[in-house]
Amino acid sequence: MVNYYVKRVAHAFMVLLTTLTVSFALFRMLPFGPYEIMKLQIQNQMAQSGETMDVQTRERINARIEAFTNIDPDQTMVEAYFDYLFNIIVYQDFGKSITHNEAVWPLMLERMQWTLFYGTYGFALGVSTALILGAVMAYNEGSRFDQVLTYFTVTNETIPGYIAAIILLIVFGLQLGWLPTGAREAPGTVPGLNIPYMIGIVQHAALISMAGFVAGFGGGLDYRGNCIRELGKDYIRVAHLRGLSDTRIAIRYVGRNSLLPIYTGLLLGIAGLLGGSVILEWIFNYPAMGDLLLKSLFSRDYPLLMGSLVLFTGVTLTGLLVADLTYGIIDPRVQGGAERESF
Amino acid sequence: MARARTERETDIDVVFELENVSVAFDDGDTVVLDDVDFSVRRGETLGVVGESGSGKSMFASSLLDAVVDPGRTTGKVTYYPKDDDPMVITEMSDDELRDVRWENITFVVQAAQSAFNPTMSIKNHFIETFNAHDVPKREGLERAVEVMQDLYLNPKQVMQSYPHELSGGMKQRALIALSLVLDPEVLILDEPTASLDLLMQRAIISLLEEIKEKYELTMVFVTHNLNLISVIADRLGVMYAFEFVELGPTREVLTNATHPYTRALLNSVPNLSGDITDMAGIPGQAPNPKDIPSGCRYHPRCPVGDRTCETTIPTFDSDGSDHAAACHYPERSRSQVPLNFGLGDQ
Repeated sequence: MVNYYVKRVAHAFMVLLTTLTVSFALFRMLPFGPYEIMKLQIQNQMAQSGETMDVQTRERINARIEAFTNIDPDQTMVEAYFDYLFNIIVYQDFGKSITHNEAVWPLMLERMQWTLFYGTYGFALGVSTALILGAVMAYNEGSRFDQVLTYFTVTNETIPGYIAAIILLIVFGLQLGWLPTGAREAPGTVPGLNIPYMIGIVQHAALISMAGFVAGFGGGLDYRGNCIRELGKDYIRVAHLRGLSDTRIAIRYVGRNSLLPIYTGLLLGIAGLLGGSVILEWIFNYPAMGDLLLKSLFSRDYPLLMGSLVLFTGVTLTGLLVADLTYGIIDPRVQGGAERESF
Repeated sequence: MARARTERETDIDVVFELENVSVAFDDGDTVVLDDVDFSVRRGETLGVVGESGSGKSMFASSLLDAVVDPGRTTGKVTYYPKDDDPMVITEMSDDELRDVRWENITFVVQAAQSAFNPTMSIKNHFIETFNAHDVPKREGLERAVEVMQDLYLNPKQVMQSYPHELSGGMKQRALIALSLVLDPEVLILDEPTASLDLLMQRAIISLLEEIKEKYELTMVFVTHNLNLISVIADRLGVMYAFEFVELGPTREVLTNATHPYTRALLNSVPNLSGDITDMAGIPGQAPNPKDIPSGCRYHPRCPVGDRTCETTIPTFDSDGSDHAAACHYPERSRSQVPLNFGLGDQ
């Protein structure tokens, strides 16, 4: 049994290392490095302001960029890779962001708060609403309510999340103008525990949360099916005959046991939330973790890009690992998950 | 199936009284228990036999108004507790029913193998039952241990187990223990030995006999296994096509059955004293609940019957004794359907 846990954790580390290696190579092979991209930007700026580039300025710029990006052009990719790993393992140092000129990890953590802020509300609300509705549908199987909601849920699942997000943006942000369409906080407010600031962040997170809510809605139908199957089980009838209350049967019997088949999926949904944040934050112009990742990709900010990747992969792997290792606790028929693996 | 007077009126101590009880599905189109008048006597073991789909389980479920949805029970089921006022089960609210269920009357269902919540330990099943019936946990568990010991279960080990960790026989006994833990008066068993091997069936039956003595139970035992039931039942009721066709003391029914169906049923059961080649099935098929024959329901398969049987419904008559059957020609039935075993001579 202990052996299984050790194996499972080692497995996760292997996956992390492989992902890290492959993406490191892929990122370095992208056309244009951070150096060229930055040079292009500066040249564009100068062209716009009408300055001309003489040899002296060019050399000055080159030197500045080199100091700035902190990347040694003479290093081979393999050398860079081992350097990177060495710094992580020995100094827990993921490097400094090129564009932000800040250490990668604190920068990501700062942004991560915002993603978790809107994501938790959207996702947690979406999933719990979906589960509750699924259970209510199961209890009223075949009723009008069930039919209408099934129709609605299927439609919702057919529409990709980003389309729904754009529709929300158009309707509530632009047409009705009820909610702001970008930024994290209301302009002119002071961050802290004060009412205007808090109202501001809630308003700004509302649309993106709603989009997350819609995306988290899909599990409802699966759960409905599980509940219906569970309701037909013999032990439910026996529980009624034992004189147990309907509430107890609904929660401890039907509700809980119907969660088992979708348990892993739910935990992975937390990881999916991060993946979804990239496109959602881009649509809603919400500068948080997903936005950071996307911009670091555009500017070839290698350290930040790699850091985000490690973070995303880590969260996904942790989700899977937690699901696998805890499954045996919620379903005693599976002993510590030894006979079951989710990938 | 009308009887002149109910048993309660004749001073017999009755636990259950059923009057015109029917169970129907599909808005009354499919009748699976048809207008049954019946009484269960206090302290007896009543065996109810019949082939699959004859309404046995429905009879058992109707006693607790526990027919599975969307089935509906009509008629009147009255329960007479030992030291309490009579309760009309069919008129009780859900809350009232919840109290009676398991506290006074317990029901061991057909599917004992899947009667436990797979994600809960056996102990938690006991505890939640105590909570639902306001029984102090300590007291309840003490009693649970005692009942388990009576059933030859190791309480400590079984309590800790999850359902999937128990064998079929252990699960069955654990369910019986769970059903006895609140000291009920009536135990209804619906095929309690289904899916157990022969030895385990015997073991469960003899356990039930011991338990019955010790806990002063009234038992209603529904099964299609005539051999088993004849060991334990005081009275035997035979069901055919959703109603009772014969009822009497077990030995009387076994050796001197009146109804041609009962006689044919007895002949279709393997036994030790008769010749195996005499064993015979009953030709034809049991009627479909949507298409019930007129007159006597058994007439299409009956070797005895004539025109009368096709048109007239036989009454449930007794010859003054405890033994009654619903047949127009009891004499002819006895002579024309000989039993293939020699139990009567013993």
